[in-house]
Amino acid sequence: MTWYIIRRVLQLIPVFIGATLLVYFLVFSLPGDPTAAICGERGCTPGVEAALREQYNLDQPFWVQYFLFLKGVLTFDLGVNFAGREISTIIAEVFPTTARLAIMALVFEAVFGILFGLIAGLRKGKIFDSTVLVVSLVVIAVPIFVLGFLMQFLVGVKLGWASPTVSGAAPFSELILPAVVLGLVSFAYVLRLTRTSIIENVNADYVRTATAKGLSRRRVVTVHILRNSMIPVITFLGADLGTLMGGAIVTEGIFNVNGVGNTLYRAVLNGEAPVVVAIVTVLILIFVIANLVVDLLYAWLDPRIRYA
Amino acid sequence: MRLARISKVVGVALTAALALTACGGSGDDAASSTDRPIVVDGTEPQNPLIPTSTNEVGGGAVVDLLFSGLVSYDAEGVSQNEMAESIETEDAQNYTITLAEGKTFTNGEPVTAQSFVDSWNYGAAAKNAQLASYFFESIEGYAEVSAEGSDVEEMSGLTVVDELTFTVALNQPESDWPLRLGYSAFSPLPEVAFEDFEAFGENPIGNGPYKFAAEGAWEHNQQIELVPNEDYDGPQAAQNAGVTFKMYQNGSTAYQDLISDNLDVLKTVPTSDVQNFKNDLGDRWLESPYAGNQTISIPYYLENWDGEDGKLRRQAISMAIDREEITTVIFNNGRTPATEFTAPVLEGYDDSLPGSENLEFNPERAVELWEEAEAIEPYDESEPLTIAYNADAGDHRTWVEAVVNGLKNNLDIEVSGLPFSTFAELRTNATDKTLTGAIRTGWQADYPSLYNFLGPIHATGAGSNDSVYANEEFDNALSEGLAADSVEAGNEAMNKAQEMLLEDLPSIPLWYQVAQGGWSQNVDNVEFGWNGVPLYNAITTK
Amino acid sequence: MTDGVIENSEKGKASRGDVPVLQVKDLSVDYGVDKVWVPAAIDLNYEVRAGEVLAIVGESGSGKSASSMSLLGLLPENSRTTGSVKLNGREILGLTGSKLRQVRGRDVAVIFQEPMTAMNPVYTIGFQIVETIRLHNEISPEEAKERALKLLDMVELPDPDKAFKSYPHQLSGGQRQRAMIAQSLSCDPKLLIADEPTTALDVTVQAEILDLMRNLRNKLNSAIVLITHDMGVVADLADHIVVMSKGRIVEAGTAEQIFHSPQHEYTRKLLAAVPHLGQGGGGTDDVDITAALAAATQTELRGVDHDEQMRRERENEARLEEREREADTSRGAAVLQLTDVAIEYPKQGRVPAFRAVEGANLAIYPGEVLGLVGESGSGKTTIGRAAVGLLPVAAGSLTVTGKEISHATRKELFELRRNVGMVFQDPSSSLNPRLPLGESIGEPMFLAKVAKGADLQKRIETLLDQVELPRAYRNRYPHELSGGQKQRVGIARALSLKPKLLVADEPTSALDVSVQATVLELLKNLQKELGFACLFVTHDLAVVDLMSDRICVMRRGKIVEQGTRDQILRRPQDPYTQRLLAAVPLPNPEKQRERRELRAKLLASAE
Repeated sequence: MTWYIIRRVLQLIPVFIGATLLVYFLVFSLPGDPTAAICGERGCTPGVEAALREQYNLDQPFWVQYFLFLKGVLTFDLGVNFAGREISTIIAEVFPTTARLAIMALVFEAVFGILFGLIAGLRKGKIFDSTVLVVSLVVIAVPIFVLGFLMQFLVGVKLGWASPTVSGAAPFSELILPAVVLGLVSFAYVLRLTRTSIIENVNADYVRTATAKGLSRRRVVTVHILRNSMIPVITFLGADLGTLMGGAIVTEGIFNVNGVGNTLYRAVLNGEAPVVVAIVTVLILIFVIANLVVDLLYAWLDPRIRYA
Repeated sequence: MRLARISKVVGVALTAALALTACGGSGDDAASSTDRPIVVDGTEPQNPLIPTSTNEVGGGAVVDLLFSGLVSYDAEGVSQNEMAESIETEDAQNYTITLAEGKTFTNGEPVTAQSFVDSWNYGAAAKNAQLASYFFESIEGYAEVSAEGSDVEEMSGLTVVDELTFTVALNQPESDWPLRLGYSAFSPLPEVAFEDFEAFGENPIGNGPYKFAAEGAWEHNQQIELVPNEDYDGPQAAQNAGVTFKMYQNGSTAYQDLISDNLDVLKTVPTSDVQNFKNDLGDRWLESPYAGNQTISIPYYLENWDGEDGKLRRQAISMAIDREEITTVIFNNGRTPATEFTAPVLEGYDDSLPGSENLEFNPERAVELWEEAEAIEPYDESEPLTIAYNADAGDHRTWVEAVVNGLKNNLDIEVSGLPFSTFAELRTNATDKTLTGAIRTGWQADYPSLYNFLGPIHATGAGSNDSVYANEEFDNALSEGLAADSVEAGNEAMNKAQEMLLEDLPSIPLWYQVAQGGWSQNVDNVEFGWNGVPLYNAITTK
Repeated sequence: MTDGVIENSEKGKASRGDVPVLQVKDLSVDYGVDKVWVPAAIDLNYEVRAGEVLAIVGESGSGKSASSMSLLGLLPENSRTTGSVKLNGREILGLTGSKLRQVRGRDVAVIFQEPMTAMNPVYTIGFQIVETIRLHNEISPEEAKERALKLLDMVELPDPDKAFKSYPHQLSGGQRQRAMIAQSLSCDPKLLIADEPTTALDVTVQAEILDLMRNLRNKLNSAIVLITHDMGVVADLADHIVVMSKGRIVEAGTAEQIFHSPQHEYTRKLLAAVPHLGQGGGGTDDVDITAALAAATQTELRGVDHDEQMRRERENEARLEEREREADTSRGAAVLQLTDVAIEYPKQGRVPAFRAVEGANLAIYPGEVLGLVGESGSGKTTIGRAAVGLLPVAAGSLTVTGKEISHATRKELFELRRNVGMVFQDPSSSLNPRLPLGESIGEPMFLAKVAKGADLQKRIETLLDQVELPRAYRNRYPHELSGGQKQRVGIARALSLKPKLLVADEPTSALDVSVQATVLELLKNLQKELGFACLFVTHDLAVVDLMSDRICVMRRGKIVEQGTRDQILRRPQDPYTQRLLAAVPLPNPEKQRERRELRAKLLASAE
C-alpha cells in the first residue's frame, strides 16, 4: 500500500511537466500581443514597448521562455506578472479564498445531497422523491449564472439575509451564499447518485439478511445500506473538489470573490503565461492529491479493493 | 449513526449556518454614521501606483487623489492652480514655472522644482518603460530620451532654476500646453520614490488631497483605503473621512451592492441595469456628459475605403446610422448623438460646424452617396465591411450589432460585427495594421482641450491613428492652432481643422459619452467632473 | 394426493414436544403485478417439530421460497400473505414492528443461498455476528465477541480468530456459508429456515455443510425447514418432505414414503428425472458406488452386513472385468489430443500470470464422449475453451483432428473451428438477443460459406427437427423461449457445421432438473446418431455418469485420474476421486446413509 502511494505521488512529475508545457504553449499561442494589453487603448511608444518586451522576455522563442519558467519553479521563484507583482504572492492570496469557498460548497453538497438522496431513494416513487428529482433536474438545467444572480438578488438584496458581495477578507460567514450557489449543480448530482445507489442497494441480498436478523429499519439503512451506497458518491465528491477549486469563475464573478477563477481569467485575457501556468500547476497538484485521497478512501470504504 | 442523530446534526448545522449568515450579512453594510470613509467602486490598478505608469481608469482614479500636479481641473474643466504659483510664457514655446511655497509630500519632503523635473525625466525615458511617457513628447529632448534602447535620462528642455522655479522648452509652440499640466502624468515625485520604485509603487507617497490610510492600504484585488491628507490645502480638499475603492470584477455585482447600500457610489451603471436603474434609485442617480466619445474607425489601407470613392462611402455609412434611435433605445438616453469630433463639455465646442450634416441620419442621401461611389470605383464585395470589437469587456456587442443592423437595413450592404475575444488581440491587429474592416474606437480626454481629440488620433503617424489618416493640410492646421497666441484663437483653428475631418471621416463619430452613475442612501453631494469621474473629495456622508 | 397434516414419522426421534415448533395452516402468498394478484403459493399446510428437518422440494416457480420468506415477512411490498403461521403456538403472521423484529433472528433464523452476497461486503464477519448477538441480547461487546468466536468454532471453521476479522470476500464459499450459519445460530433460534443453502457450493463442500447441519440439528435440537430442488440433498438430510408444484403442495410424507413409494405423478416424474450417480445411461448399467468405494478403500461398512458387503464388492469387480473385455479397442485417430498441455492466463499489469492447467494429457477418439469433471477452479472449463482455440496454449501441444492448434494462424484457426462446435452454459447470454433463432443457427454455416439462400434455410430446418423444436421457431427470438428450448437451439447451432468434436461446457447447470433430463437425453441421442466426439465439461458427477464413455477427473489444474466410466466408478484409484464420488448425495435415504459412513471414513483416512 505504501508503495502504491509513493508510485502515485511520483506520477505527479510527468503530469506536471506535460500539463505545464501544454498550458504554457496554449497561452503562448493565443493571438494578440501581451504588450497591447499592457499599453491599453492609447498604445505605447516604441521605446517603452521594447523595454517591456525585454522585461518580460516576450521576445524570446517559446522554449526559452518555458525553460526560464521551469528554472524559476525549481528555485521557488515563480516570477512576476505584468503589473509587477510576485506571482507567488498572488497565489498565496487567492488560493486560500477559493479553497474556503470550494470546501464550503463541498460540505454543502455532500451533507444535503446525501441526506436528500437517501430519503428520496428510500421513498422511491413517492412525493418527496418526485419533487426532489424535478428540482434537481431544474437546477442542473438552469445555467449557474442565472441561479447565481437570482440568489444574489433574492437573498442578498431583497431579503437582506446575506451580503450580496463578499468582502476582501472573505470570512466563512460571507461565503455561505456563494458556496451554496457554487455547490448547487453538484448537489443535484450527488443527490441523484446517492438515490440511485440507495435504490440499488435496498434490494441487495445482505439487506434481506439484515432484516431477517431482526435489525430495525433505521439501523439497516444507516449501518448497512448507507456505507455500501457511499462508494460512488465519495468518488464523485473527490473529483468534484478539484473541479470546484479550478472552475468557480462564474460564481466568483457574481459575488466578487477574489479567487483563483477570476485571477486565471484575467491572466488568460492578458496573455500572462507565467501566471496561468503557475495557477494551473497548483490546480493540477490539488487534483492529483484529491484523486489519490479518493482512491485511498475508496479502499477504506470497500474492503474488496486492494491495491497492488 | 441513527437517522435521528443525523437529523439533529443537520438541524444544528442549518441553524448555525443561518446564524452565521445573519452575522456576516448586511450588518456590515455602509452603516449610516458620519465620519466614515465612503465606499466607491473601482477596478484593480493594472500597474504600480506611479503617476507616469498609470494609463487606465483603475489606477488613474487612485493616483488622481494621491497626487497633485501644477494645476488641476474644476468640475467644468477649467484649470486652477495646485502646486504652481504661476506658469508664464511669451511665445508658447518656452515656459517658466514657479511653484507655490510650503507645499510638502505626506512624508514631510518639500515639493520642489526638482521633484517635477526628476519625475518627468523618469516618465519620459524609454529605459523606465513608463506607459504614459508619450505625454512628454512636446518637450525638447524627448526624442533622444525616448528612443528605443536609449540610455539618456534627462530631457534637454527641462532646467531647474532654483528650488521653486524651472523652465520648460518645447519642440514647437503649443498654445494649449499649459492645459495639459493637470494630467496625472505631470505629477511630482518625492525623492524616496527614486530609491525604490517597486516599493513606492506599492505604497506611494503623494501630495494630493488623500493619502494611503496606512502602509499596505492597497489590498490587491480587494480594496484601496484612502484617508484625507491634512497637509493638503488646495482647492480639492476632502469633505469626507476618506475614500475606499472597492474592486469589482463586473459591473452587475457592483450594482447589486449599490442597491443594497453596501456601496456608496457607482460611477458606471452596467448595461444590464441601464433600463431600470432610474426606477431602482429614485432620485439618487445622475447622467452627466463628459469629455469622451465613441467612434468607428475605418482604415485607409482597405481598398474599398480609400480615395474619392472611399470618402463618399464613409459619408454614406455615417448618414446611414440612426444615432438618435440607438442612444434612446439601447442606452436609455444615456448618450448624446455626436455632431463633431470632440465633446460638448469642452470650451470651444461648436455643434454646427460645416460638414456636421455628414453626421446626421439621412438614409436617402446615404444611398445616393453610395451609388456615386459605385460609379467611381465598384465596391469589392469580397471584402465586406466588418466592425471589430473586443468581447471581454465593456459590452460593445449590443451597440455594434445595432449599428450593423442599421447599415444593413438602410444601405443594403453586407456588414457584420466581428468580435475579438481579448482586448489585446483587438489592439494588436490595430497596431500591426492588419485590420480587415472597421474597428470600434473612442476617446476619453486626458485634459480638457479640443486638440486632445484631434492630434493624438488623426495627426499623421499619431499613436492612436488606427485609420492611418494622413492629411498634410490637416496636420498644418493643427500646428497653426497650437501656435496660436490665445486659447480662443487656438480653438477656432482647431474647429477649422475639424471641418476637414468631417469631410473625410477617417473615423465616424457616433455619440458623446454620458456618465450614468448612482449613489446609496447614505451619501450626498455626488457630482461628476468633466472627465466622467465622480468628484470624490466633495462627496459627504449623511 | 395427500394433503393436510403430515403423519407422525415412525423414526422416533428423541425430544419431541407436543406442540410443533412451526404450524402452517392455509398459507397463501400473492404478488401484486399490474394491479392483479398473481398467486405464488396456495393453501399450504405443514408442521415441523423440534429436532426435525422438513424439506420443501420443488422446481423454480413452485413457490417454495416465496412461502418460506413470507413466514418472516421478508417478501417485497407488493405481496400479500393470508393464513396462519404459529411458532410454538404463537401466531406470528401479521406481526409488525418491534414484535416482528424480536421473532426475526432470535426465534427464527434464515440461511440464504448465496453467502457471498448475503453478507455485507464492507463489514467483517465478526462485526456482523456480534451485531446480531447484541441486537437480541443485553451483553457487552467483549462478551458478544466471545460468543461469536465460540459459534465460529462450532461451525468448524479452521481458524475462528482469523475468520472473525475477515471480510466475506476473503473466505472461500464453504467458509462463508459456515459463517452465515454461525450468524443464524447466534441467538439459539427455535426454527432454522435454510433456503438452498448448498446450491452455490461445490459437491465436496456441500457434503461438509450438510454434515454440519446434521450435527447441529442433533446438538441444538432446532427445527429445520430445508428448501431445495436437489433430491440428493433431501435424501441426505430430511425427515419429512413436502413436494410443491406451481404453488401447491402435491404430496407430503416421510422421506422413506416419498422416495420409495411416491404417490403423485409429479413426484414420480421428479424422482425419475434426478440423475443418480451409478445409474448410467440405460438403467441396466447400475454401478454400486458404495461397494466400489468400499473395495477401493478397504473399509468396512457398519450399516451393512459383512457378507452382503463382500458380495456386492465381488459383483462390482466382476462387472468391471466384463466391461474391460468388451471394450472396443479400435479407435482411429484422436479427434482431440492434449500432450503435456499447460494453459496460462497472461500477466495483466501487476497481477502475475496464472497457470490454470498444468501437464494435461488426454485424448478423445471419434464417436466417444469424454466427461471432464472437477470442482470450481479445477481447470476443466479452461481446457474446454482451449480446445476451441479460445485460449492460447502456453506449453505442450494441443491438436484438433490432427492439426496443431497451439501456434495456429488466424486462418488456420478459422478452418479448424469448423470441426469443433461449442455449447455454452447459459443459453440466455450465448444467443444474440437481437437475432432470430434461425439466423443464430445459420450463422456458422453462412460464415463458413458452406451454404446460403434456400439451401441454408433447408439446413436450418433440418437442425431444428433434430433438436426436436418446431420449424416455426426459426423466426422467434431468444426471450420468447424457455431455458431448455434455448439450450436446444444452442445445440443446433453447435452442430450446424457437422463438427467432429462437440465441446459442451456445463450445458445443463442452469436448467431445472426435469428440463435437464430431456436436454441430456437429446444430446445423447444426437451423439449416437451423428457420431461426433464430445468433450463434456461439468461438475455434476451424476450427469457425467449419464453421458460419458470415459471420465477424466481434474483437481486444481491437474488431471488426477482418467479412465473408462466403469473403471472410474467401480475402481477409483486416486483419493480425490474417491472423496468426490463419496460426496455426491444419493437420492435414496438408506443408500445415502451408507455413503455417509464411507465418506467419513475416507476423510478420516485422508488426514
